Amino acid sequence: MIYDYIKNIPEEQLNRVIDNLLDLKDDLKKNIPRKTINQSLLLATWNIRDFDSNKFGHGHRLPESYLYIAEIISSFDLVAVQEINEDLTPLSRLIDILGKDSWDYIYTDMTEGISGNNERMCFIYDKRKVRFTKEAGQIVLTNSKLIQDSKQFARTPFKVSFQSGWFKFSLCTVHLYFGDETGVKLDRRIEEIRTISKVLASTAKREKSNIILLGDFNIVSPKHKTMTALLKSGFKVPLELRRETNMLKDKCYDQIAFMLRKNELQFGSSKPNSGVYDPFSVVLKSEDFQIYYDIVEDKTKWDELSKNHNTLESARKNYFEKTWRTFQISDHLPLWVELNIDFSDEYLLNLTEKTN
Amino acid sequence: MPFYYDLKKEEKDVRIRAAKNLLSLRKELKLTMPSRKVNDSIIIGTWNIRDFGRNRFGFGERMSESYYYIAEIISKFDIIAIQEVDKDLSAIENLTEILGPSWNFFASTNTLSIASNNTRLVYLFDERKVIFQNIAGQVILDQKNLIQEKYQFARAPYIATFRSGSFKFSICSVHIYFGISQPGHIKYQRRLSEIDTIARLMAKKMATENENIILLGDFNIISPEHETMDMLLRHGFTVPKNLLIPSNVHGTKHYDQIAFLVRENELQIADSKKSSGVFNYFNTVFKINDIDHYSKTESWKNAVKKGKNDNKDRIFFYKMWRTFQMSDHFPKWIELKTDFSVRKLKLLKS
Repeated sequence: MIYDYIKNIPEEQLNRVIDNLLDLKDDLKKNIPRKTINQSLLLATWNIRDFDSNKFGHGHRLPESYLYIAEIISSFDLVAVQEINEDLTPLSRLIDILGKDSWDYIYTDMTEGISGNNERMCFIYDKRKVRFTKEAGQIVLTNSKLIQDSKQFARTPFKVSFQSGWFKFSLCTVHLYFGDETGVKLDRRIEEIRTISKVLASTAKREKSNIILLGDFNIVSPKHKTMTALLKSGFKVPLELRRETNMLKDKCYDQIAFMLRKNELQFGSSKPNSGVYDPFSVVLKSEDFQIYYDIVEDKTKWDELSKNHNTLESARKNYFEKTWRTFQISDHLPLWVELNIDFSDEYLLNLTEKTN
Repeated sequence: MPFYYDLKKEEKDVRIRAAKNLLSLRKELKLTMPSRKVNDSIIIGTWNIRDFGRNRFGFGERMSESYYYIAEIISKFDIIAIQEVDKDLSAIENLTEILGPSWNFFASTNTLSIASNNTRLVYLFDERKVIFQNIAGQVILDQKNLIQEKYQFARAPYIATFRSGSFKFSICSVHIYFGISQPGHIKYQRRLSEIDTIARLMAKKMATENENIILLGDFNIISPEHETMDMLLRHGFTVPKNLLIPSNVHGTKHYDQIAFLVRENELQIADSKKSSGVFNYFNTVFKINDIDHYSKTESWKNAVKKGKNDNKDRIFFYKMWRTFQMSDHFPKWIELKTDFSVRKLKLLKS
């Protein structure tokens, strides 16, 4: 992390922001394993809401939010990110804070069409741990595989090959069509899930390669048919990773699914070795709403009274909690897993057994 | 994580033995040494690797398996200063190759004198963790600082500047003149004077340039209570208590030292129990009961051929022979914190 960016914080906010950063660092340390140089890979997926076009009009991210997001990302080695917008300035600002010497990133163009939503997908990785191994492409469907016989993916999945330690793998990140909770639009979502897992399962089988499929699948719950669609082609989602990943903690939208060579899915030795990181207990806490109300210039949305909130204070608090802060950090929480990347012992053991 | 790929090309019995040894060596290293972190800390070491890259004493060449053991040990460090590297760099190149593409080294010029034994000082480090800051040089004395009024250092100490995380530091690696251990003898005085001189000059460098200095290497210091140690400490260098441990294979001498003279608050030893020590590899490789195995090797036979007698006391011979495969010194390490961001952030508060 390069903390020079702190100079963009207004002076009267400085102490508060630094205290928040210190709390966040401390909390991350408690909840996420330390980054090791050779033993393990900390892999995460995170939908960072509308980063950062302000197309919904709740305001651009404050400079402090960039610091919090960067601090969280810096705890991992490799993060698949969804909802990067057309304008790349926010992304490059984030990388500057992470430190260009150690971090790199690779991203897609935007898929055209309304459902593409002007979004890109991106991998952000720590170069000291992860090496890009030269394959990067988007998944385009042949005629026979089109979604509902006529459509490509709403947002074309992004597949990139990497190596970390001994572990060679491809990541395919998705932000699948949401549509609706029922009917033909839900069918489209399910078909997107089924199609991407099927296409990749056959690639993995053909290449005998390791593929990790991760991102925002808009999967409702482990029992829902959206999940069945993901698992059908043989992708594995370990039980530990079947978690609620939205801020409200009631949906399993984000997933990390594996199709790996035999014995190559090894969780790390830390406790815990997977999780969902919730930053809202340390930054942009519910009780902080007044602080941010005072900072923002346009307070219209904050002061809208409704049936449920007939005092200004409760309306503001509600808006801050449910909406505003999800455009500062996100409405999704990062889902992460620690994987073992040191296969030395297996390799050596194998050398002791070979007979010729 | 060294690259074991070429082990496949070794003959079957060598390959199997080496792979088994590496497995137990790895287990022992994991138990003894700290795990390497990306951001939190740096593991700094010093190791005199006996006669590395040649066969000056005729005890037989290092076998290829020994390179793997040495590489496995070094792979647990972020940076290590090595003494006794031959002027022919092929051994250190081979070692760096086994360690993998993230490793690099640089070497001093071998001092052109008989006392130098033509050895070099080397820094070997993982570039993912340690960034060389483009300054490296050997210590040359001006007239008024000459050892015993006439000598340069037998082997000119080697200074280089690095950064890891927020921690910037210069290391000065030494291989101090040994001479003779008899107090009062002129050659013993030369040893004392070398230690005294380098500690004094480095303390002066710290005072004038305010940089963190780590003075390490093979000082031929006898013990913490010995006069040789006073020479190191009298100018302000400190040796953390846990590092006051012997480092020769017999566990009797404190030859190797890691001493510090750093800015306030910048020497922060990591919190783990494994944050410093010496690593004794003879518990897992070249064990006493491997003697029958190794007495059949070419290296052993060549040593015998060169007139090194193995009949009188085979065990004694083996114990000597194996120090030319590994070393007669154990590596010493310390783990230091390198992430000062919390302190830095606190300082930014108004």
